Amino acid sequence: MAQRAPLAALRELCQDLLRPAALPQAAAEPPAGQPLVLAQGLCKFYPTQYGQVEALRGLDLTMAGGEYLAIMGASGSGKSTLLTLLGCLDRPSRGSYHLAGQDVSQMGDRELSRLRANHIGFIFQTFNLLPQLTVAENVALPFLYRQQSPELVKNQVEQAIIRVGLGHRQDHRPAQLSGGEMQRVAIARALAIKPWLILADEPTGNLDSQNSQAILALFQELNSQGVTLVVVTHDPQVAARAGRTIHLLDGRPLGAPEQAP
Amino acid sequence: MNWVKLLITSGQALMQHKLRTGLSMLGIVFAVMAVIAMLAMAEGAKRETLEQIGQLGTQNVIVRQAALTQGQEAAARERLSRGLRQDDAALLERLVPGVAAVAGLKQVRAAVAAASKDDPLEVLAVTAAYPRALSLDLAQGRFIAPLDVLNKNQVCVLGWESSRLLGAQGVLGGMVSLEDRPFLVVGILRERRWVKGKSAAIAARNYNRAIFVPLGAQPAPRLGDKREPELSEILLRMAQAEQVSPAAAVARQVLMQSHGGFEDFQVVVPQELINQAQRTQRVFNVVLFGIAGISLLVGGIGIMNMMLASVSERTREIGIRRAIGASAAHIAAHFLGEAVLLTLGGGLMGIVLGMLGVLVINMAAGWKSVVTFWPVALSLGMAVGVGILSGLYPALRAASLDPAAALRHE
Ligand SMILES: Nc1ncnc2c1ncn2[C@@H]1O[C@H](COP(=O)(O)OP(=O)(O)OP(=O)(O)O)[C@@H](O)[C@H]1O
Ligand SMILES: [Mg+2]
Repeated sequence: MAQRAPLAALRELCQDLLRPAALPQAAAEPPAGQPLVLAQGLCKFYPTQYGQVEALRGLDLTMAGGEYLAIMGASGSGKSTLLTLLGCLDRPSRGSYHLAGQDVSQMGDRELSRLRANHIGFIFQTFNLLPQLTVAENVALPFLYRQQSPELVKNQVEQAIIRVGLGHRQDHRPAQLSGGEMQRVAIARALAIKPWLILADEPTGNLDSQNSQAILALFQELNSQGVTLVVVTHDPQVAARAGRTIHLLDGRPLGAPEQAP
Repeated sequence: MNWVKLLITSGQALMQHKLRTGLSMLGIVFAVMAVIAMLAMAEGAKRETLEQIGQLGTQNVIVRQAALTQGQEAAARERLSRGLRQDDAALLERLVPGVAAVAGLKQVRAAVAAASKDDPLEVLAVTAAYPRALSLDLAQGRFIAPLDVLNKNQVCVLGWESSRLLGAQGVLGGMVSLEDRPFLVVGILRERRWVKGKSAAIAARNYNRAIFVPLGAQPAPRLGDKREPELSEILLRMAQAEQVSPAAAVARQVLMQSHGGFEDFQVVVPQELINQAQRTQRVFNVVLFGIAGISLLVGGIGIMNMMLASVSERTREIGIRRAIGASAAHIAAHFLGEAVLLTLGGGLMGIVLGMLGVLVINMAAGWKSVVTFWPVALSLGMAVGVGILSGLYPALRAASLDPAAALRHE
């Protein structure tokens, strides 16, 4: 697994802690007048012992707030890589990415984390709930990493759980839920922080068609309420619900001109 | 960062694996327990020793007549030494610089009427300076005066317990009979704390059970008893505590001269005994901390091992937490918090168990072990230190995981 040397991590950590916080403020709404997502020439290379893997090779993407975007493509075409970049989990190797006007490619770990904690919701194929926590605790987890008054947290968590229709299962543990219900908990966890952007990586990949339909309906409902969504999928039916679809092939949008690396 | 919430999260993670947590704590628990219990015992023993030595008077130099074998006695006679004498006391008073008072004492073997045979009272013939040298306090009456010594007056001063044991005779103005000779009670001492000595060198007299008479006024030795030196002990009270060591050296030289170069005496400096006891204690403490350090190290390695396993076991969880907004520092804090909570908990448990152990030992063996503040503070500090040391590397490993890669981890 990719792992930086712990000493380098220590240095980065100390720098992060010592640097005066030039941190983005937690604004409820993204600043108006600019696109929410503005990616230009986005590249991501992974150095491996067999040479460099070029997962993403020059991708331009512009998204306005409230959009519903589907990303399709073959396995290994770079869809998940793109999501980690859009979700500020990683910095691009080349190219630029502005989220609501802020240049993400220049940010350190602390600022990236702050952005994720405040403005980005992730949803995964495998749900990724913490099994030891209850539904409510899972949904409240993102608030551990940001400053907010406890009453507000309780309120937002409860609202999010009710919004995905699990008000009666707040104290259950993930093991006591069905796949569809677990995914709804994950959606509630993403929703609770009132994010600018929700990123879903094959959210229906592990669900039967009935549950998939329910999740897609929920997405559509959220989108109609103004939530910006990016959904990675193999399923054309899922993509059909989105307002726009981009297809990736070998790390590049289908139809885009070949670029010099 | 909200440290309290992060710590609570760490605590919850520990509570999830209670057995594992408990087992990895054990090393720290035992190490701290041993430190607490052993330091408490050492401290108790030290206090007892110091108290015993302190009874001899830290400003005093004591010269004791040595017990001689027959051969040594012959040698002493050859050199014309007659043991400790009042002349020696006078000589020391004149020649030792900085001496405030010199007192002579002779242990008297005399039958005390009305006292039990198994548990005899001690008859001490002393000069007038004696109570000053030992800070004996009077409850009633007066002590033996210089004139009493000069005139060999048949008077006595009773220790607190002697006075009680002698009943009607043991009151001010009463008559105590020693070897059938009546002595008038002129004073009674206040009760004085006394700790039984562990060895002859630091043994202090129990003045509560003493009967003081003027030196020279004591009943003569019975016929057939072997000849004894005039004094059994000379006590030098120094004006200042720093003077005891040089004074002891001078006293030794003076006495060697007057005893014809034959060392039939022993010079005891309580302050030096105390210093020696403290040095021994320090060596013991260093050894103890060495052992405790090794146990803590072993415990720390166990915890580090556990934490490293936990990091790789929870790689997915780390990825999830990173995705929803945890920074590398948050992740490091989670794991470091776990390690520190673990060792802190182990330390606290060790302290409690150590204290319980001390209590049990004190009750069972009748010791006077005491748990003082420093070992407790030190153990806690060391426990936290071990937590930080053993948790730092695993925490940094966890923090340095690539979030996206951690999320993909099965
Ligand atoms: N950390 C990494 N180190 C090396 N190579 C990587 C790493 N992450 C991704 N890759 C490679 O980058 C390419 C794109 O991976 P990515 O996970 O984005 O594909 P994907 O489109 O999500 O595929 P799937 O549909 O199977 O999920 C793949 O060839 C993958 O092997
Ligand atoms: Mg993928």
